[in-house]
Amino acid sequence: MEILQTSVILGITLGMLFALSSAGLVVIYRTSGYVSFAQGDVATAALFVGLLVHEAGWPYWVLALIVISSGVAISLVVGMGVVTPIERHGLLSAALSTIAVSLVIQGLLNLTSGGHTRAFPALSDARAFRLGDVALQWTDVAAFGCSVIAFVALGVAFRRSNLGIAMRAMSDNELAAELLGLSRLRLKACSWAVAGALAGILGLFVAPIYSLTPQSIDAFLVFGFAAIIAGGFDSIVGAMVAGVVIGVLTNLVSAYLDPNLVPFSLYVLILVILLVRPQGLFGRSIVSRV
Amino acid sequence: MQNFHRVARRGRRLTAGAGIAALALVAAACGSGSSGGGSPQEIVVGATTPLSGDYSAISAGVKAGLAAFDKLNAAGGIDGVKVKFVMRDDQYNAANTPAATRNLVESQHAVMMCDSQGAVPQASVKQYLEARKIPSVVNAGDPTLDGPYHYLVIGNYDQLGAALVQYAAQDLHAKSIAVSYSDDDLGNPVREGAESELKALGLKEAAKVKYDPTAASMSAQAAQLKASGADFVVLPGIAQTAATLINAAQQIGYTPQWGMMFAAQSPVLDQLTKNKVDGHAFFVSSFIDPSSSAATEYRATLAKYQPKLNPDDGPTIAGYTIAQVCIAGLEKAVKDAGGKVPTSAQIQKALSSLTVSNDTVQGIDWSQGPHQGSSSGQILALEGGKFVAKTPFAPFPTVQ
Repeated sequence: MEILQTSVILGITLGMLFALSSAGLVVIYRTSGYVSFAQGDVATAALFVGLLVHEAGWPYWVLALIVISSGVAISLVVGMGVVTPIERHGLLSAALSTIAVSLVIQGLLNLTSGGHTRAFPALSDARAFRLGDVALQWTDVAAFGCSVIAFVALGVAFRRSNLGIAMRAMSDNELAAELLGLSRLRLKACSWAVAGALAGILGLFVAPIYSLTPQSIDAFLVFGFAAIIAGGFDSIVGAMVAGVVIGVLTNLVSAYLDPNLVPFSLYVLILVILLVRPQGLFGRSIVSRV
Repeated sequence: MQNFHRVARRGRRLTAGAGIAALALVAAACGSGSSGGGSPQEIVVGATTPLSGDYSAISAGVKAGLAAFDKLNAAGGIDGVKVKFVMRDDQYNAANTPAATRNLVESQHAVMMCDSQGAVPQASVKQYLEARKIPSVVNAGDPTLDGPYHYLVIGNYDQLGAALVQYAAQDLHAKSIAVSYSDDDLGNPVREGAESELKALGLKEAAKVKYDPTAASMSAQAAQLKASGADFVVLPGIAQTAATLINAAQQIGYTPQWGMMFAAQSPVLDQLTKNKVDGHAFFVSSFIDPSSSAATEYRATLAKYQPKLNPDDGPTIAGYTIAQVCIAGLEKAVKDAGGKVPTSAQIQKALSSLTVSNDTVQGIDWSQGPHQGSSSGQILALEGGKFVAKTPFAPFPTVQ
């Protein structure tokens, strides 16, 4: 019972991080029609900038601001400087170029940082409260809260705000949206900036637990991709629910079956969903005029 | 005609995408290096190591080996014969190791391999190196790597596992011992050695908990270990992996004593666990305490040739010590070759009659047939942020 309780509680906290990692992917997809495989590397590069700030003796809140704003800046450079211009060769080329950007960032970080494992400071190491056998720290609570706030804000923005509706319009029909006077580049810049900020926030919660290496955030993105496939590429709510479900499921598989079966079970889940409901559990099915 | 243009456009798009991906792969892979330019008067020694990728941190061991060769060359080499030490990146992935090793042997003309890392990657090239008759002193402790052209310096992993259990039971008076392990060429021998020693001491294993070293979370394993009630947990793996499990255990209020390998003996472990394992973490090692007087020369060499490396890291001192053993073998080979550049056959002959027992490594004897690693070692503890020797160098327990 103790193992089950611990697996579920920690699975939920872990799942919220998976969900947060998928949020940035959904934001870019909803404007551009493809996902960015460089999302984890944007977070990592921003964290390395933050580490410099930390080593210079600045307080945590400055570090957090620098990481988030670096995430925005790096994401804008990647999105508007490299990926969006490549869209003229097609969405496949643009998506492939994010893999290229990912590898270039990893290569540069390896060359400049040496690839060593580094500890990253946390918001707080103090214990917040106990939930069953699990002692949750303020960092866990903050991660949970930030994830919920991010999802509510994105959900409201995409449904209610002019900007969010414009982004959806751009994703649905780029030509029609431009004819209506919407600025394609401005909307794309906005989506890359929001995704960069989300990458920075994700990094701030992942790096203190799993350490910082040029690849450490990428390991999380695998689960983020799984969450958006399961939840639906264009669904913010779907990404959150699927992230939490994946967090709990992977913990249970690890505890009761075999830890080496976690990736296998994840890919089986993705395959089944793609076969049975390709638009994901909460995604919109694509309707085309014939 | 329209079809032709459409196909041509699609071709251009795919070419652009593939071109970008290829350029990026080249950029990401540009992480190999060597100790300098080559000449016919040099002995070329190769090593494969993860210079990039998830495991790049452990390449510190091979870089420390490079420092040992740089120091040797700066002092004039071996009777004037210099050593060119060439590293190739395999990302610690056995799928990449054969190509990297072939490059070293066939393009760089390496006559010997030294310090190449990882039991699994090295197993993937064992047959190839034997076929090419290239001797290899490996940076791994899996006893199955032993062979006519393969030489181990690190103590066998099963013996290291047994040594941890012996220390826990006899010195720490642990009442209940659990083993957590990864299902691979590191975790399985450690588990087998630990189980053998538990049986020899008449103790029952509290739990045997498998983990995936690449997992994003180990909270399930922490819960299983806690449920076992063990007060000492054997935990092989590198610092990053160990820290993930230890932190997960801390989160559910489980604070046993941890028995780890030299691979986790790193200040990074202390940082990643927020100093919470200080006084509760023990490490078995075939190598000396990096802060001891015997390590003075090691620290000075690293400070001069590889100042970015942390001398307190277990994998770093392991890589340096293995390179020193290689140098001892090469000195013998150069002497046997009459002061000239030795061939692979001459190096293999020299290594096969080598015995090493000095201040930095003890109990290596490759002259009697098997080319097994050090038969002695010690236990270190993390105390006050430093790694302190808790036992003197002593023979490891025998594993049945």
